[in-house]
Amino acid sequence: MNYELNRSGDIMNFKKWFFKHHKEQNPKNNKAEVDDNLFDLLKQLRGSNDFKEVVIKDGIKKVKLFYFHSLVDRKILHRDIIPYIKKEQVNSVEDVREVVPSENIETTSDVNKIQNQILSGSCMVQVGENSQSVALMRAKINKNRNVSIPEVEFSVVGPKEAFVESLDTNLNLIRKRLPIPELRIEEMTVGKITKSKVAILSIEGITNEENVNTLRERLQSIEVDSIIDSSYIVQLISDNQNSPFPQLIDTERPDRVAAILTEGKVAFLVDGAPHAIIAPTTLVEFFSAFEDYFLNWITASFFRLVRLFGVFFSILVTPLYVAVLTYHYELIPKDLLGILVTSRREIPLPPILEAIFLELAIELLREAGARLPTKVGQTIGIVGGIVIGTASVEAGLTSNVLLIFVALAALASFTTPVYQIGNTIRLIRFPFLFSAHLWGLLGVSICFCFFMGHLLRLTSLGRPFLEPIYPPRVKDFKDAFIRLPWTFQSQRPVEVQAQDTMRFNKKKAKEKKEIDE
Amino acid sequence: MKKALLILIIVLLSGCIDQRILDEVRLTTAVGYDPGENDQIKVTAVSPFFQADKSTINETFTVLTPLSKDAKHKFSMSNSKPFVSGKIEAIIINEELADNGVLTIVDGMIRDPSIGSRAYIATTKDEVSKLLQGQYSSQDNGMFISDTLDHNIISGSLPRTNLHLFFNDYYAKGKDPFIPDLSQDKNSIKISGVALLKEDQIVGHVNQDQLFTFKTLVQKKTENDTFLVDINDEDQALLFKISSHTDYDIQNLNNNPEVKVKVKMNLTIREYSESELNEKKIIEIETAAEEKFKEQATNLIQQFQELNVDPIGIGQMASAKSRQWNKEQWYDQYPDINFQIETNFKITETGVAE
Repeated sequence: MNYELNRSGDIMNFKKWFFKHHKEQNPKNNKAEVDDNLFDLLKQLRGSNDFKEVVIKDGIKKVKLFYFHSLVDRKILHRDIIPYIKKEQVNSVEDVREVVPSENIETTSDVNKIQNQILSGSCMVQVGENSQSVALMRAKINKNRNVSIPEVEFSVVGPKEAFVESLDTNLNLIRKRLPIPELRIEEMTVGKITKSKVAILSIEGITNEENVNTLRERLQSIEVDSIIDSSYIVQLISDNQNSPFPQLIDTERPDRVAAILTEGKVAFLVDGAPHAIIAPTTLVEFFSAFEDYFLNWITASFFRLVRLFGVFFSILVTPLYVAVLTYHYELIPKDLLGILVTSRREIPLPPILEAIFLELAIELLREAGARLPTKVGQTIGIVGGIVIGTASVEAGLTSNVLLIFVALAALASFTTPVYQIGNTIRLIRFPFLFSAHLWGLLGVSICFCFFMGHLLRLTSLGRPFLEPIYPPRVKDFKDAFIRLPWTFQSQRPVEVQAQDTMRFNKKKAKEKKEIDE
Repeated sequence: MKKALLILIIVLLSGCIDQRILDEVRLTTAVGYDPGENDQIKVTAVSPFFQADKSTINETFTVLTPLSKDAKHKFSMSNSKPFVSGKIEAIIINEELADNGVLTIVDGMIRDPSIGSRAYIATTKDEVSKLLQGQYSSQDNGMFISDTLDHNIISGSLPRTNLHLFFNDYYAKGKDPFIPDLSQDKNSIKISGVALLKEDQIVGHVNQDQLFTFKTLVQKKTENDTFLVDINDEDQALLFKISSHTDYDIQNLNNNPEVKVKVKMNLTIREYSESELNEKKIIEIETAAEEKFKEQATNLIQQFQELNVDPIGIGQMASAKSRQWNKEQWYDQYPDINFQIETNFKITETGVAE
């Protein structure tokens, strides 16, 4: 049987290649025919053991209750539904509506709708054995994690709420921050099997409709059957899926989402994912923590620059070490010569192997730490780092100067506020390292040019990824490498091409301040 | 396909690059040149030997060779690691050898792109191989000489000099180069003055106590230097130069040139042999300093004119002013030029003590 199925599949593939006009059979259409009547649906559902079928009333017209006990809150059933139906006379589906004191009742005979509702936690009441029309009542069980403190994007000052796995809770977290009618939430389902609910958030009159449309089209065109998390979607709708750079930001902070919505960007949430995805974005935005906006602009700008330095340091320090020690001994300052030579004298490995050895050790420690439970992971990190580091220096496998550099580089790569870009930095160190070994500083610059070229071509939702550096947009530098004070932030970023570019009146913002003083 | 091929070629070609891993080469920090037998040159290379306790032992290698650059090859023959010249900080030439021309020796240095043009070139009357052999500090001698010259240029009497400036002066029309003159001093190396060069041959010297004036004349702006002045043959004052500014005004360029030298200087009194110091005394010191400077400057310029060398670069300044300027003609005129020195010294501070 299986074998035959496979065969027929193969033949179909061949047909697809050779006959252009052959229509591909859609599995969904096939199913719809079967499900066309309630009887067949019930038959299919009865195949699961958690599907319950209870006769509430026996009489001229049997009243039957259908539900998945794994999806339905029984308290609601016993408190709000069953007693009322038992008490009153129920002769038709319409009567159910009259009898049960709840606003969440729907009567329908649309099988598709019935199927979706039952599978998402409603119970169905059928009056009479063969009635096609039924009443659907929401009795969904709400077993969610409580809203807790953001762990990845933790901030000392500012709100301490993070998204959870429930879409409704997440939407509540955002809407309570933006109490305006213009906030528009568009829901759709993605994924043939998981039927994940996705909600697109935008503000009418501010957000550029083009951005919303692009996002909507991309979401609609997703063909993958299961969407378990928002990161699936991020990978699927990215402008360039073969880039190591993430082109959409994911955040677990509802306050950040509210803030970027007012900036004119678009966001979307996926049911079951504790992250919101922000678009369009730029490379620079990946290095701005949301805490920057809570701090005074001078300190915030300083921390941003430190982070940016950290990124360059993390990527370039080991490649530069390898390049200079392998090819360009002339560049070493004379006072540093002694230290470098003595630290490397006993080491049998060339600089590249030494560097790879240490980088690999750090990567292994990180991976091991990430896979182990939190407390064990921390111990592994500290013990492994110290023990392996000192042991390898004492054994004469690596020089202690490089050990310092690699450790600092690893430390610097943790400063990125967005987790995804941290992984990218971890990765792109290696091409730099290899090219430094092959061609010295020239190799480092070739590699740098290669990445610059790649970044220049990248887009996020069709908007340039390297903005404001290229295309150069001076206005957007107000919130890029440094964050200027709020009075300077009167205009929305050029990047998003917002409908309404002004956020507030700059003059008035300044005047007010003077009066206060 | 094209891209893959390109990457493949680049990767394969990287095998052709010559690696010089830091700890697998013998760094040379200084080279010295002495005259050898049979018209050969005795080349001495200084190489640091870094100890595990972070100290450095000065090691020297000597070889006889007809051409200076050939030495590198010969050094490598007797060592486990190849000698490299990228870290050369000082080039020292024996004066006897320099009489035949410095350029033939340093020629190899400017042809080698790995040698920085900020290396120092210096001369000595002593035997270079002996000068470079001593262990003068915890550093090797290349670093030692380079550091010694360095700090004397920044805050001392030595005018700015290095390989780049040497060649700049050498190739400039109407300017002659000068290089520092070193000598062995018991257990150290001493800057004994500056050697003046005509073309690439040493023709004269400026000794150590004239260096203050020499630096002031040669460099437009100078600072941080000390000047010892005798006042009325009894008292002495040590003055510290805060800043100086030297201007040259060339007049009557075409037939009978005259040069006005204007020197402005701000000084403070560092030490005074008498305890009392008042306004009158300060003016006295100022005049004494001006007189001493004028005397030294006149002597120096006279020496330049007698030797027909122009380390100040008066000729270069003149050439900038006149289209008819001609090198040969200028050097004919040069010994007879009348120099007038105007000084404007000012003592702005006398220290904390009142």
